Formats: sequence, structure tokens, C-alpha cells
Amino acid sequence: MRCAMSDRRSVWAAFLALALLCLPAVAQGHNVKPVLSGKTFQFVLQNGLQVVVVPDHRAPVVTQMVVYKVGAVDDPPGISGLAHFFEHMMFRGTKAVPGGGYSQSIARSGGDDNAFTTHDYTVFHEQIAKDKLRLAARLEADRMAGLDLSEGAVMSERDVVSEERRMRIDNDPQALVLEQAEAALYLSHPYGRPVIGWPDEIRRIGRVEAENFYRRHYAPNNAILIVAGDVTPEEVRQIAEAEYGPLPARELGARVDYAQPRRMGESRIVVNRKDAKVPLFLRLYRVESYAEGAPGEAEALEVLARLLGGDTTSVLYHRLVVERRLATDVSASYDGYARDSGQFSIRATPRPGVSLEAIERAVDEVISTYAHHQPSKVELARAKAQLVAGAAFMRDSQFEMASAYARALAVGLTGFDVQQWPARIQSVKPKALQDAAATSLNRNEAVTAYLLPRP
Amino acid sequence: MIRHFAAFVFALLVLQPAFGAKVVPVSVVPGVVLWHSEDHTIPVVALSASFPAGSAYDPPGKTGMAAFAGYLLNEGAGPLNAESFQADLALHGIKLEVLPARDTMTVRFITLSSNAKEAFRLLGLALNKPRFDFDAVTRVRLQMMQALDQGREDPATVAERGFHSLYFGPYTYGRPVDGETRALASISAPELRAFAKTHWVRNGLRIAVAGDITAAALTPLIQSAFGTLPAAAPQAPAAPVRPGAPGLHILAMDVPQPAVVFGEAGPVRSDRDYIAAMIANYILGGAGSGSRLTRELRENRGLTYDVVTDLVPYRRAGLMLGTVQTRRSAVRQAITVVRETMRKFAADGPSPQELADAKQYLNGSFPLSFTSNADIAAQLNVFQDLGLPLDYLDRRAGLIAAVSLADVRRAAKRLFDPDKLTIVVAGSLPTGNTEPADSP
Repeated sequence: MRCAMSDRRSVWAAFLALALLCLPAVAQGHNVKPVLSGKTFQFVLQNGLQVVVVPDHRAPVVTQMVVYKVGAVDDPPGISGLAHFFEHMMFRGTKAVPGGGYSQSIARSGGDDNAFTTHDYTVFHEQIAKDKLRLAARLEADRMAGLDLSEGAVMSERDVVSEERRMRIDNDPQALVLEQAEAALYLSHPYGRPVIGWPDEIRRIGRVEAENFYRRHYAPNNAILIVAGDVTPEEVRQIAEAEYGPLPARELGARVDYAQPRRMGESRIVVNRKDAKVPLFLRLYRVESYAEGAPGEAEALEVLARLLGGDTTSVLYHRLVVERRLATDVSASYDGYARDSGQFSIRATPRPGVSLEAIERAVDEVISTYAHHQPSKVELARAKAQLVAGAAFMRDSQFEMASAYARALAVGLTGFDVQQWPARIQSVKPKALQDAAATSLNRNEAVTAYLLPRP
Repeated sequence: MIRHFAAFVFALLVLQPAFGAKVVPVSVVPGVVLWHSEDHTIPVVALSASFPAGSAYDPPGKTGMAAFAGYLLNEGAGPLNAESFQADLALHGIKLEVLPARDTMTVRFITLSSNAKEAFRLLGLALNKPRFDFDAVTRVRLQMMQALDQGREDPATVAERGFHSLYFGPYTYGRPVDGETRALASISAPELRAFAKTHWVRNGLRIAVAGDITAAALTPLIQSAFGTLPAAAPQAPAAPVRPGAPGLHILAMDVPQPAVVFGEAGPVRSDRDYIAAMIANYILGGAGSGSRLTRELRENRGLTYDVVTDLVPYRRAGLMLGTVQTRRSAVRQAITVVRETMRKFAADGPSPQELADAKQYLNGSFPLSFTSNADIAAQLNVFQDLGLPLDYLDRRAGLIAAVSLADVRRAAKRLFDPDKLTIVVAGSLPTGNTEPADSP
């Protein structure tokens, strides 16, 4: 999928949408049926840029996303946070559009822009009137190759990122505990390093490191262009060829293939903080992702998270909050969009006076029940209904749709996977949930963290 | 008492503006404003409805009553206890949320259109026959109290609460939306029931619906969900009495990065200079990466990740409200730069280029708020709450285009007087020599 260098013109593959004809029949009595997806189009430019078009003609607006297959995993040793820092530098000017010219041009055209970085990928996006797509494409193409990194901008942006870290992490005891737990969960794999970087390592970033990072990772053959909204595939093809087409493919820095070392036991962390007012129970599991799991495994974990702790109708909430009155809140979630392992997490806040040990016992009893028994029909139906309806609500938003393609394609999935997702969720069997609870929620693959307010 | 009202659609008022959504007023229930944007592309229906049930209506000594009642909206109604009610929502994939604010309580749902009937039925049940069961009341009270405790960890929350308290005093807008621990402990189920009865009412109710539903299908659903609510509007809350507490206030807490909230009087939405003020605010602190404050604090000095100012047009008082967070050692410098940037802007006004840029953004970006049914319903409901007529959607571009350099200069002078700023810092400063801490 990466590059198609042979053809002079773009390679068209305009048919992911067909998928829909083979949706499985939906059982009678379901209140939520998978909604057929609209058509999506996909092609590749000669320089290797992958392009996805998701038409939605309701409003005269488009969303453009440029996804680079580089993230915090690619931070060099000793300089965690570089990928995220570099995302910031992409807004600091090019030779052709210096200073804050990029955001200024987008704003003058009535557009919004932003960006974000994950462990595996980095996304830049604009939402703008449809007749300004050409401009947005020109600006993204310009900064894909023409960045002008000045020493002064690097230094002041490093301070900005340090402030961002204080705001998001250091000021928030819950965020600090999560950061500690993730560092323990992944052993030596870089998913254990925070995307924003460790404070001491953020301070080591310099112009040369940023420059090298740019050369190694920012190129059309390492990127995916997603355009959702009021455009036709032909319009996008013309704009993409004109603006991104002239950029040459480049030799990419190889991504390091990190081992995910075997874990031989659970890790436990107790964090005492004076700044914490409320205790927190946190359990993280290293589990299969969509990219590395066998077919259906990630979907089963998705349904399991929803069933166990998706909302107030979930099993954990019912058991711990409503019935046993041990907790005031409890939730579970699954993040499966990763190139390597995914993460399943459970968090709970105890009622005043209830110990975290009591919370932990109650959580483990519930998990054990579902590892030994299949869920009831109605529990399963409820969890699936919410997930499948959620996919329809996502289709209501061109930005959400573009994001769905971004996170899937960035970790090596296909547009077909995105389109099939609701049907795959619908077809998860009760037995698969039991298997997921029994094997994926394995304490050897887990970190348990307690946050305790220090009196 | 059930009364039936004839549906009446003002077909002549149909608007088809450049931003895409077509919005029609529908008259279904007397006293209720209902705007409808119909589009059948995606099989989804979104609703946003706001009631005159914000925290400004909290009775004396019962701070948090409005929000408490609101959070109980999905905790049981009619024959359904909390679990059954929530299970019904979940089984139909309906997402229902309640957003308590100072003037209003907003209720939103999004549903597949095939389940729209069920969504309206459950919402109608929740509004007309809320249960306030002992278990649910106890559970939600505990959750709110714990959220308050958690808020005390977060300097941004502490500063925001502190600002409102200092600026408005202990009445109306000065009290926190999510309540106070002691007040929450004193609120009983009968009090909640009484509050719902007098505030979840038709008069002052504003509804926006967007998506895959026709006016003919919508009308009976609106009637049955909202038509039997009590008519009488609640007594309007007292007008705010304390216009600011100029100066620097420090709420001591031990955090690596203190939060600063600063503000002064701003226009209410009906102010004739509101649009000019909106443009002035965009230029100083509303434009994100393009604002003067971002340039001075973030780009030139690396002082913060985010500095922003906003107009906050409460119904009975307006605010210009800003926030910035920075490391302890830089708090004083950040405040000085904010003040100086304001002073310069108030004195010189905007450049012609800044005015042109602001107009282009504010007009060009308008359609971005109308790209999904969920966004359309939410945005329309906000305009309704601000008292704007439906034709504002069409007139807005012209109103913005008509603002002159002199208008913005006048608005900036009024909005950004650094000597009138009430400044609240949650955190601690490195050295002594600070003004005495004022704890609200």
C-alpha cells in the first residue's frame, strides 16, 4: 500500500465502498442496525502519497487531514517528545510562507487548523470552505518539504511545550499516575514513553535534532492525505496532483522495530500525592490491537470494554456503583488503534471511606465472572447497539469520518476495515467476549496503580 | 392536563443561506421556540433544548440545585427506575446528555432516526415524570461532591470559580454551577422535585432539531414530549450586583503551573456594539494562534501553551473573560504582558489589516459550525438562547461587514481597560511581596 511508483498518473482504486453489499443479515429484534456507509475513494500519487476521499455534500465545507506515519515511537533515544515538538515546529514557518503565515492564511480564509501527535502517527488538519481546499493543500504541501527552522523559534517553542506538559500532566495527579503506569506496562517498548516527552528530555531538543527528524520522516511517501466533505474524488485528484504531486519521494529513516518483551508478572505502583484530593484505582492491560490481533479479536475487546465499563448501564458500574456502593464512578475503555499492542484500561473512584483494595477485589470478581461465563444476550445487544449507533453518529461529522480513516490507515489498516467495522462489531459472538476476558485481561500483562491523597 | 396544539409551519420564512443548513421555525407548543433543520442524507436526528433552569435560579443556600436536578434527568422517570431508563436509552443507541450552565439547563440527544420516537418518548418521560428516587439522589450527590473535590486539585477550575465569586459576589452568577459541598448535602428529593416542576417548563423553552425527520413527523413528538410541561416561567433571578473586584487575587495552592483568570465587564448580547466587541476580542485574544496575546505571550516569549479571551454574554451581565497558565516564576511577567497588550490595543485600536482579517475569519468560518446534525442543533440552540431571531443566520455576514475601524476602536477601549481587570491566580508565586490572599 505504501507506494506505487510505476504509473505516471495516480493509481485509482475507487471502490472501497462496494464492501457494503456483503453486510451480514442483522438478527431480528435488534434496535440498532448497521447503517450503510457512503462511498469512499482511494488512490495513490506517483510520489507515494496515499489519498482518501470521503464525500459529504451537506455543507459547503471540507476537512483536510495530512497524516504522517511517524510518532513518539520514533523519538530518538534520550530525546522523548521530539515527534510532538516537531509537530509544533510545523507551524513556525517555511521559506515560502514564513513565520505564522500558515495559520494566518488559513484563518483569513475562514478556516480552522490544528494538529496532534500519538505514539504511532502525527496528524495535521484544516476545516475550511470548499473553494479554499486548493489553498489548504498548497500550504500543507509547502510545509511537507520547505520548513525553515530557526534557532530562536526552536528555543521559544521548547518553552511552550514545557508549559503544555505542565498543563496537561504535571498539574494533574491523575495524568501523572497514568504516565507512570504506562511507563511500567510496556517495559522497554517506547509506548512507555510519554508522547509529550519527559521534562528533562524535552529540554535537550535542539535545532539539529528537529532538522534531522524532518529529513527522515516528512515526505509524501510517508503520508496519507484524507479529504472529507463537499468535494468529488476528481476534484481532489486534480488538487492533490497539482499541489502534492511535484514533491519528490524521499528515502525514509527506517522505523525501529521494537520488541514487546514478555511480561512475567503484574506491576503494581502506589503513588502518594499531596495535590490529589480523591483516590484513583487504575488498571492497564497490554492487549491485542486492531493491527496485530487475529480477525475479530480487537472487535471483541471493543465490545468487552463497552459491556464492562462503557457507561452507567455497564456491568462494572452496575456492580460497583449501584449495587455494592463501593465506587462513585467506574469505567473501562479499549484503545486498539496502534501499530503494536493495544491498551485496555479500567479506572474507578471509590466512595469516601472505601479502600482501593476493596475496589480492586470487586473489579477482579467482575472480570473473573466474564472470563468464566458468556455475557447475557441483552448485555451483549446493549453494548453492540451503542457501538454501532456511535459509528452512525460519526458519519454525521465529516471531521469524525476523516479522523476514523486517519487512525485506521496510520496503523496499517485499510479503508475497507473502517467500512466493515460496524458489521464486524455486530457479529462478535458471546464466546469471543469470554475468550477476551479470559486471555487478554491477563494479570501478567497488567499494571495496577493506586493514587492516594497524602494527608 | 393534556392539550393539543395545531402544528403550523411558516413556509415563507424558510431560509437557505450560503452556509448550507435550511432552518424553519415550527410552531407546535405555545411559548416554545422550535427551529427545525431537515436533511435526510444521514439517518440521524439531533436535538438540543434549553430550559430556564440554570444555576442563576438556585434558591438561596441551595447552590448546585439546578445542576443536581439536571444530572438526575436520566436517573429514572415514570415507571422506569434509573437502571431501566438508562438501559432503554442504551439498547436504542440513544445518547442523552445534560449541560447545566448559569442561565440555562441544556438537554441534548442524538439518535438514529429509526429510534427517534423512542428518544422523544424517553426525554418526555424524564421531563414530565422525573422520579428523584432516594438511591439515585444519593448516588448523584456523592458524584457531584467528589467532582468538587477533584476540582480543588485543578488550578484552572479553582481560578474560574474564584473569579466568578469575586466578580459577582455570592448571588446569581457568582455561585458555582456545580454547587458547593454543604449546599449539596442539604438538598432533598422533594426540593429537587419542586425545582424541576417550576423550571422544566414551556415558557422560556427553546428547541432546535436537525437531521433526518420531517416537520410532520416531528410535530407530534414535540407535542407529546414537551406539550404537557407546566406553562409558567420561573421568576427571573436577581440582577447581579457586584461589578468586579479589580486587582490581583491569589488563591494559594501548590502546583507547578498556576492558572490565571482575568476579566472585566463585557457587553450583553443585545448591546448595539456586540459585533464590534466580538471583532475586538477576536483580534486581542480570540483568534487562537493569530491573536495579539498569543503572539506576545506564546510566540515571542514562550510563556504559555494557551492564552485566550472570550466574550461571555450571560443574560443579565456580560463579561470579557481571559485565561492563561504559566510556570510559577513567569506568572507576574505573563500578567504584565497581558495588561500591556490590552493597554496598547485599547489606546491604538486595530490596524485596517487586522480588522479585515477578523471579518474574513468570522464570516468565512461560519459554515464550519453547520457541518453535522449534532453541530447544527447545538449551534441553533445557542443562537436561540442569546435571543437572536432566525434571520440572524442570514443577516450576520452583513452585520460583521458593516463594522468600521472606529467601531472596533470604541469597543476595544470599553472592553480592555487593564485597570479594571479582576485577576485571579490559583497557585503560588515564587517570592513574597504579594497582595493579601483573598479567599472567596
